[in-house]
Amino acid sequence: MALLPATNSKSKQTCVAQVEVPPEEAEAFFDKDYALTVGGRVYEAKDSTDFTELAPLTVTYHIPAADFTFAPFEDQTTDTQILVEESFYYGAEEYLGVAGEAKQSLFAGFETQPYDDTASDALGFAFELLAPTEVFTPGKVVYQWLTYAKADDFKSNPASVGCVTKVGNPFVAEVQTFNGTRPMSSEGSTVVNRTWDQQNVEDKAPKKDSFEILQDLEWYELYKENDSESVMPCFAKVMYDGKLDATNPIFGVYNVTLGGRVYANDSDTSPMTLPEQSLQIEFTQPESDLSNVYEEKDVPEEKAAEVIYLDDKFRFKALDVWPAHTGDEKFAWLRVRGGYKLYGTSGAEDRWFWNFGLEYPTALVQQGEQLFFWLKYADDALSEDLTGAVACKIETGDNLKTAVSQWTGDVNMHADSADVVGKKWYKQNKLGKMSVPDYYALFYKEDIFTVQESPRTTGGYSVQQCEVEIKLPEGATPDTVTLTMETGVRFYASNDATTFLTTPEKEYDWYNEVMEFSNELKEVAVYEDKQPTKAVEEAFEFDVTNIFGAAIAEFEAAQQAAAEAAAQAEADAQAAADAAADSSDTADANGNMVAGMRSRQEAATYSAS
Amino acid sequence: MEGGFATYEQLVASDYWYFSMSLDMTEGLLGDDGTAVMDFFAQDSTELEALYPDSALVTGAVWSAQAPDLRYEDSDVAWVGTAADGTGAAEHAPAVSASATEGNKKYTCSLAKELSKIGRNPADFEKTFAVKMGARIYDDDSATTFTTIPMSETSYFLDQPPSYATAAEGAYALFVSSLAALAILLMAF
Repeated sequence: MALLPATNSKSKQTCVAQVEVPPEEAEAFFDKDYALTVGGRVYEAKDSTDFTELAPLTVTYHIPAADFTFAPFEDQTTDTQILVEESFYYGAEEYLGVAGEAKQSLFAGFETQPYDDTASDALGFAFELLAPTEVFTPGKVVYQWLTYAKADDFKSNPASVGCVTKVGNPFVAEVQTFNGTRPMSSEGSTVVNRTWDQQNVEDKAPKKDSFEILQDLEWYELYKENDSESVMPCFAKVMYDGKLDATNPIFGVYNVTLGGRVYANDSDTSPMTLPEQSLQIEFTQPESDLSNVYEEKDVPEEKAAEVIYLDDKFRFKALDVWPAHTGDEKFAWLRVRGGYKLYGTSGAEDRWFWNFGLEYPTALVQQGEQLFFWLKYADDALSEDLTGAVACKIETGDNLKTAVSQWTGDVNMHADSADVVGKKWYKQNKLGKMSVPDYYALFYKEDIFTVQESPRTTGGYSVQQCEVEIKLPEGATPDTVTLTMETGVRFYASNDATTFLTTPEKEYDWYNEVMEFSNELKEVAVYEDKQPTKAVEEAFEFDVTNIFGAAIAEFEAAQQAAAEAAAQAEADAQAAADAAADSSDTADANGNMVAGMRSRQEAATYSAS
Repeated sequence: MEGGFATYEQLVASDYWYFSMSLDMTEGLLGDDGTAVMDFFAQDSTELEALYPDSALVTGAVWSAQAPDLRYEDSDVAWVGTAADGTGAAEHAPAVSASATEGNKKYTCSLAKELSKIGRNPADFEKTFAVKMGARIYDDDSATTFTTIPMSETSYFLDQPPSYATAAEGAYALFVSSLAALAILLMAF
């Protein structure tokens, strides 16, 4: 930005502005002609209103079409079964030249889809380097690596994986695979004094045997851990040909060496080096029954309670979302239920779940459509722990294509958000999106994740649900909290769609008190011994004669006729009896009764309230 | 109109906020009691008069077809009416007192809203509602004309539902209540 020397003893001032063009948005920018007009003003001083106008210059230029194509989006749900999770701590001053702490973490495990016979298993290594944010200046290259060799195999070469991320540009992340005995250590003869992309080229594995990067940018993008520290993640994955059976040689105990280097740039040959760490990993066959992974199956039924804590249902007009709908069904419903799964045995972890439900006309159910349920929560202070969003995406007709996303912080999830409009469902709201959400979906539960016929008696309706849950760390939330919630559903025709329909988006409150299992929760509700408390009793009097005049006349006539008929019947009966036995006292008594009824009618006043 | 709460002891047993609307009329004038049906209508600020007797959504329609787009199905709301077998709101709302007018009878319709104890939001209470109440009398289910009982207006403060008093708590509450009444008397003198 400083003045630079130019020819003829002149100086020049430069200014650079740049904008990131994500590859998936390249079509909108590339293969187009542009006319660019550049102008400028030179002000006398910072606060001056006097300036010299520079002559504008207009140039035309053409940005060529992008020279890449996208791999198809992998929307098959896979289950990540972590086998190892290790972290190593360092003084950042000593190893990275910046005061503070540093931590390198390694996660290793399998990705599997046990409910799809055609889906292959995968092995993945996830690296994370946490360090003071000053370590991660733009352009630096973070190189995290590991070498693994089977503990009881002394014949095969060790394998190594290098996971490369460039600060500020997740699109150039790269994964390298090596097979050979040359060490990945910074002192290794094929590493020292080499740039990151030249190290160990002698042992580089062929592409078919190599680990690959993921499609999710979050895994290669720096994110803030807190005000002073950031984390650079990186993920390497290798797909196997089919499912791993118990005899696969991959299973066993491995000796692993983990390390990391931070290069100043692509041409740097003297990186800052993290100390190497040794650990052992045992690879075991992935669990094929996911209920064993996600559910507390060892808890006896009497010690487990599922408690609905919040249940809000929002009705909206079907035509407001689907203007072309011609069916008789006028409405659709968005339902949000939240609740606890509580356990009364030690070791079992309580859960919180969100169940999203959409009840809509069956005629509008489209197989293959992507339904994106989202929910945002925030406390008044927008505090870090209590502000965020979670989304559950499901493909109609295929519960194996369920995806969970989670954001931290104040994220605008609304359909008109600039980070949502024009983006695919999985590309929206990059900021704050967690690479690994804490929420997960039990997508194998077909009674929840497949379309069900609605029990509604009117019209033809179907229900599509999507449900996420999270394990509750003890004491993670305050005892009581009130959060403002927002919820909506977006409908994408496919994974490539960047336009969508949306339900009306609703706002409501969530008041939460932390619950624990108690035997009370297992009781059956009995509605006896109620305690009524009358809060109001009011009577409003009105004049009935104007309102019920005709009815009263009819009523009185009917009353009189009935009375007369009864009296006549009584008299006839009495007369018959008199014929049998002469008794004058009885006739007097009958006459009094009839008179009394008449009197009562004649004296009647009608009041109502 | 009577309204209040019916509370129950168990955590898993919901409490209920009830209303009993009665028409205190000459017995026989309206015929016998029949079945009760509860309809729930959701109205926004532009639709507050939708159920008034002169509303276009009411006039010319049988009682069951009033404001159809505003009416919710029973399964979509927490309010319940009284079913033909007597279950529902009538179970929770206390019986209304008999008419104080000789020859009159109260024609009563009760409705109640379920208030789950678990997840109850205190912010849903301590609110004052403006209440409009009216009634229409139709000769039968197919009648599209009706006799209108004039509308009445009042306000209703929805307090926090009281806690269920167990036997021991009830005795204590009674004692405290007596003391309070005595205190008021003392102050009055």
